[in-house]
Amino acid sequence: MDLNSALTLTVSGVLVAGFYASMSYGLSVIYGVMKIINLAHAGFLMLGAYLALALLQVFGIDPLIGLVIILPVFFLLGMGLERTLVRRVKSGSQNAGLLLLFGVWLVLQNIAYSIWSGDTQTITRPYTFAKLSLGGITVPTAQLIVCGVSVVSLIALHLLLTRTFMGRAIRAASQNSEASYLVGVNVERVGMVAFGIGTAFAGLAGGLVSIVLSFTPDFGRVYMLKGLCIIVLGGMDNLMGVAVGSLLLAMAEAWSGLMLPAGLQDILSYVLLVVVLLVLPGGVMKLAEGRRVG
Amino acid sequence: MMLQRKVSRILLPLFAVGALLVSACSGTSAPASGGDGASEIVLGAVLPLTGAEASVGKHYDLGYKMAVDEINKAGGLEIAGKKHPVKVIILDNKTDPTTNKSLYERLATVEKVDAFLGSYSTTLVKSEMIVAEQNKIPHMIAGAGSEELFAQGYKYSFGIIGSPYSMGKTTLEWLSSMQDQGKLPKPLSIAFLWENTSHGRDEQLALQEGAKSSPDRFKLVLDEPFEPYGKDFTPHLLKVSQAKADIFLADARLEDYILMHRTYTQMDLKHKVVSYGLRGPEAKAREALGPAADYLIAATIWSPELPYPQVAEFKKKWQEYTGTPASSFYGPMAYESVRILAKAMQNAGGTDKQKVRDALASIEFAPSIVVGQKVRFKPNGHIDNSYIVVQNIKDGKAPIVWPKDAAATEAVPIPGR
Repeated sequence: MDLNSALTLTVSGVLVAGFYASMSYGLSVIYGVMKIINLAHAGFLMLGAYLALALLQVFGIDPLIGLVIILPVFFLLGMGLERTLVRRVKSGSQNAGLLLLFGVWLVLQNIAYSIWSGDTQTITRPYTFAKLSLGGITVPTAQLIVCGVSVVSLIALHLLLTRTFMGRAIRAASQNSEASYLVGVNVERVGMVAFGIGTAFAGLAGGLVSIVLSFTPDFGRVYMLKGLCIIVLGGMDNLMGVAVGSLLLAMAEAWSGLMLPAGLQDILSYVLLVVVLLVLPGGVMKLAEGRRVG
Repeated sequence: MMLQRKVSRILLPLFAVGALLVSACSGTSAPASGGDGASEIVLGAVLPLTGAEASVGKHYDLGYKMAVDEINKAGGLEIAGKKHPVKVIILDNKTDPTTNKSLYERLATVEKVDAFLGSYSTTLVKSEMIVAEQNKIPHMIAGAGSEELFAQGYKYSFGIIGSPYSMGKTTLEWLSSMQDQGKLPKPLSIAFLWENTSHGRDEQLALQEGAKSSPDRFKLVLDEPFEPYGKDFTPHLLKVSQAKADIFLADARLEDYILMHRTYTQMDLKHKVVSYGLRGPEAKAREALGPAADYLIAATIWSPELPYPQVAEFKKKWQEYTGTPASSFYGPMAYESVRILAKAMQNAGGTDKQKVRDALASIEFAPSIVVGQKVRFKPNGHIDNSYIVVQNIKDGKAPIVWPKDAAATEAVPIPGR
């Protein structure tokens, strides 16, 4: 393999990592605070794409601009869902929460089928085919934008969690909800806000993906599974871990295309999930933290 | 004793009325009759009217109903001098194979239909074939053509959609004709990416056989599967680029075709011929790809551009019945499958299931709207015909370029290749 091809594969892996990270932040935030895997994440991812489509078709709003609308809409949607449904089962078994959110996912999917049918939808914009040539390597502009927004959202989320009172409260609740409660943190409100943030990021990821990929109401399913693999790989409540996990998985997938038969490439993410759970249950970031402390 | 008599006086008549009502509602009621006393023929279909494939299911719904209405408008299906009214029962499988199977079982055992009309997609059709076989009910399939369906040894199912294997063979025939005209080199090196499903494997088999039997014509320099619903085809297309083939062929579903061809265009890949199997002229894809979709070749099951008088007639009837032009193959093939079944019943002299089955096995139905104008089934129940090759051109049309007897024009070389 020549250097150009190797660089192309690497760049492609980085761009896909950006997309993976953007769709996994939401899962990580919700798990971190509420210790619940949000199975409705796939539904919100899918709805984010459809909202971007609707904003374009009805109001002529470009999907990138539409993200400004998608974020608050999904934030409120997520908070509303937590307040009305999730909170009612949170005190019960974890299975109840999982099943509830799985049910919400199915409801969202069927709502999408009834509104938009199962037809494949695609968004084409002036920048869809645009590309940058960097030293002989072609970088598709749309994917670069998705990666860029993903990095910006990671920074924004990091600032939110470290520089705001609510962010500190979220981090406290994720470390120890009982202790947080004892020191005066309204844990229920924090959970609601965290769920809203997680849902907002799911919608954001869906809006971003709509620029690059075609989608149907069944769209979020595969990415839900990848998202689970990524947050396990990186550390389930660690945002930087999500970014690292996304990069590791995307690179592994890009390069495995050269070495593994097609049927085994998708299995790679699930094999990594199993291996990490067995060998590094805290994810790769826990390993890095352990080495730093040691 | 007095109480028992009182109860009997009230309850017995109630039971009698109830029994009458139950028998009226049950599937064992006598079938409706035609004007001359001929019994009704009942066809049963289960379609994805809701769920993932609903947008396709509605075309099959229209096609079946249009054919049945046409027969009934003519007074019914004439068999041995008597005209039989035809009824079609269409149920919704919600695009779920388990529901599909159980509803076909209901059609067989409760509705006691005379024949099945098939659903759409390999997964759904596979689930219903066993019901047809178990109940020995003739079963027309217009919604799936994978070779694996007809390799199961079933005797009661007949499909009028050619397989992706036929698609591959037709593509090679067209490529050979281009070579004979000196427009493509000999041998022709082919880079082939295929989705890792039975659909892709069928086309792969055709290309491998073609390369093996005609090594002076075809060389398969890349033969690589990919998982459907991809999110990035850069690694695969890198391999295509490194293969340095003359032409690039792929077998992909719509979403993958769009993403793959966008990536192909962004990577500035250039081949003399580019084809994504069935994909190419779809309105959604042309909208998504813009000028990048120009000059793409597609091998397709049917086209409204087929220059047969019966196709022109069908297009007019379809427009009148549905209010939309005939574009995809779904509605036309559904319609045609009912006509073929009706002809088989006439040949069989009735609706005896074994006789209808035997009539289908030996039928030569013409003139048909399918490619080649004739329907004949191979011993495995699969239609024996080929595809047509179309090419996207700049004004959004996709004229037929192969076979010669259906071609409107010759293929145009991709500029700059």
